Amino acid sequence: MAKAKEGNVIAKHVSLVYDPLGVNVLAVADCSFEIEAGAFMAIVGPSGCGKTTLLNMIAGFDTPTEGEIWVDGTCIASPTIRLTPGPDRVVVFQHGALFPWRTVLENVCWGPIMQGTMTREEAVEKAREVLKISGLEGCENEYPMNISSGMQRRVEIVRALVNEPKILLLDEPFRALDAMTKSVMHQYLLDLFDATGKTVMFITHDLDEAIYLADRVFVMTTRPGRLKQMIEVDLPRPRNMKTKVTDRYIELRNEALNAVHEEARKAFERGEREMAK
Amino acid sequence: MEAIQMNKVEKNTDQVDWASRIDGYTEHTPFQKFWRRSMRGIFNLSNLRRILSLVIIVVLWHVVTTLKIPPFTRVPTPYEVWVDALSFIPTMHCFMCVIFSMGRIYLGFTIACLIGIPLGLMMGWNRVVKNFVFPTFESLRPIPVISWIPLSVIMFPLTEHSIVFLVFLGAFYPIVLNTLLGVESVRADYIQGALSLGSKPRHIFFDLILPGALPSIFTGMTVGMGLAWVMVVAAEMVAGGYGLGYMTWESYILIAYPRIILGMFTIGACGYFSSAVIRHLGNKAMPWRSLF
Amino acid sequence: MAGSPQDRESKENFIIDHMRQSVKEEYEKVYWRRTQEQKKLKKKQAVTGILGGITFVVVWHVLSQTIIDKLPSPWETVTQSVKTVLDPWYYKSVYHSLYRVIVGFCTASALGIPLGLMMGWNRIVRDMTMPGFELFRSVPPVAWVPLSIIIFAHMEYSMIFITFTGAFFVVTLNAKLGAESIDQSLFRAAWCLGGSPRQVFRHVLLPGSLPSIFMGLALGMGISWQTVVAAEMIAGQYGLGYLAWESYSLIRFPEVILAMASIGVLGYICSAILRSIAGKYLAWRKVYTA
Repeated sequence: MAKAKEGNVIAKHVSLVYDPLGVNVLAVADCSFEIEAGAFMAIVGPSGCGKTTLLNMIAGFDTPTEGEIWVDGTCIASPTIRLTPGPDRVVVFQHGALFPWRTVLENVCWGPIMQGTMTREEAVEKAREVLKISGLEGCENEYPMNISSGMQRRVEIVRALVNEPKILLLDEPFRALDAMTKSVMHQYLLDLFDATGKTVMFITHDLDEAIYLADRVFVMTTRPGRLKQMIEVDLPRPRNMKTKVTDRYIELRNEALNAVHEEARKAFERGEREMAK
Repeated sequence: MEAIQMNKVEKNTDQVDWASRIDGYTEHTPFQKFWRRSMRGIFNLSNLRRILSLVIIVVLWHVVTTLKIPPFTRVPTPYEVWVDALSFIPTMHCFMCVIFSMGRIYLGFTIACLIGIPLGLMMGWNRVVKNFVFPTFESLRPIPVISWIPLSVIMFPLTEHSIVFLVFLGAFYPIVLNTLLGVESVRADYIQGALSLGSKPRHIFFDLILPGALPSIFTGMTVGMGLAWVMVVAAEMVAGGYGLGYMTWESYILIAYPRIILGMFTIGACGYFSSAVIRHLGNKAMPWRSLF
Repeated sequence: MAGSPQDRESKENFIIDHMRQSVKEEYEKVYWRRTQEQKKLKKKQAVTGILGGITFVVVWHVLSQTIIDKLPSPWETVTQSVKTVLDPWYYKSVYHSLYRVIVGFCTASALGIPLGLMMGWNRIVRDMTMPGFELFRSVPPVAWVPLSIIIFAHMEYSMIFITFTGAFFVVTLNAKLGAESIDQSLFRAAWCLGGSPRQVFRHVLLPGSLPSIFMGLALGMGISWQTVVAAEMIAGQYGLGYLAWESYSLIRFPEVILAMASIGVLGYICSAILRSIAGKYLAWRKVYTA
């Protein structure tokens, strides 16, 4: 990684009011944070607390009602700016968004070909290479429906990385996976992070996952979603399964547990139905 | 880059006055919520466009017919149709037409339900019955029901009977097929669960298969109702008698063109009404499916 | 990949190769017995089906001899039909019906699919067209017959128009439904990956709504046949619907049944062609589970 790291995200007093039928709902309230270039940041919070909304604003799907978001010195989201989702901030979605009518290989080359940054041959070559590194060799010509869900997630992450994004936005990507696959995927993601040094924003409701993966964990409150607490995770990298049994890990986990549990209980008592998004 | 204050800690998190801190956010009282919601539900851009599109349709129709642009020389203007509607709808003739068509529909449709639903259930329940009936059923199905018109006129001595038979046939196919589909879609774990709770076959049939197939049965009935209307109109046009289809065709022969369009819309309205009745019955019969 | 059919086969072969001789024999015996049983079951099923068909014919025969004396018996129908099928005049009817259905149906799909996709894609288009569709959708296509006769001077055009209306609403509304049923995150993913609106339309909206479009086409094909038969009966010259009605007027009852059967067969062939085209384009929906 010779060149200077890209992908510094700064959010200044971001709030989003969402009014489906003229009635104000405060989804995200006054969030300010910074993700340093090349850092791994995780957001934890109960379901329906505005985590995904926050991510959508960074990705350029939703306009904030107030506040600004800056990426590498340019403002990408504010109430007055036209939204521009683009290949510099690629999202990996909660329920998976591989195009089911394209094979794995076609899915991976879709981005570069559509942007016109590579010719078809180059894109195919690069995609094959990246798939090979990720251990997905041999399923290039399968349709996404015919590979396991863990592999689908892996393909999706590869599809995002082929575009050389500044920031990788992961929206609860391992939610539907079973525990075994999840741990494999964690390791894969950690290796990938160490190798590429991209900025990563990771959303989850699983505290363990967040502490294990991230440099910095934000805990969000129930609606209106705000940043309640920040936990600096100073576990050494590279991390592996053994990290989870170190004293420091358990200490950090205990520190965060109370905050998260309180919010989860609040959300539960309010009986909020999980939002479909 | 301006320094950002991280990790802002608010102690009493639930009592922040967000309305004063965030522009564009106001806390609404329950009454305000109700009022704004209902106003936004009625007066929005979408509804405006919808109304506009209907106005455009009527204006286009008016322009095209009054200027007598080539293919539409004989088509009546909206005003003529309106005048005709005012004079025709209150008459006994109109009422009788609707009653006749509706009566045929409900008779034929009820028979189709009474035969079709049990047949579909039996086919889904018992493999031998399915093997026995299904191939013949499937090989007769591609024949459009409308082409049964002459045959049914031959078979039944009275036109009335043949029209009811055609309505029956139109509704019969979708009802049977959807019932069968519904039975087959009942999940096997439910049945296994019932068996492990010690149910007898008849319990499984009445408490599991029947309610499990109900959504699909009602889908079949809605589709069947649509086809029943197609059939009653076609049969009345071809084979005569009385009713809305006959009335529409007669208007063509008598060169009472506005009434043709009136007939079309009356048929559409009646069809819509019949489907609405079935949807309503479906919601009543399946309270567990209503989402809030 | 794990799960593909070839792979499963090779895995099975591997297992068989490494079995002990006795186990292998046992395995083969069980396998053979199982296939035999399946064959038997299929045979039984076929026999029951044929029995059902025979019962149908017998009931038809008995009915034609007793209660409904005007109904031609099966034997009469077959012998008469053979005579008619050999007559070139019959093929003129077939040609006319087929021509009307194909022209009406193709026009309906050519207009309906793009319109439906636009309706699902753009809210303004949807708002501007949907009320009109709601208004006309509940009018059965057959009820359009008199109106289309007074619109078009030429009877041929009016019949094609009726066939067109029959298919048009179903095709359009299904295309719209298909466009709306696509998961929102697929669109978002496409934007993220730098797709322009045109590319998103071509690579996400179109393939995503194809299953629903093909369903609409299949339904539209069925309705086209329904309406063409009705139109020919009511207003037509030539065509199978006309043949059925004319045969009824001329008291040639077996030909009525022949016309019905021909319509059924032609409709079935048209649907089968559609299905095979659909199968080609929807290969990605096939899921094989190991």
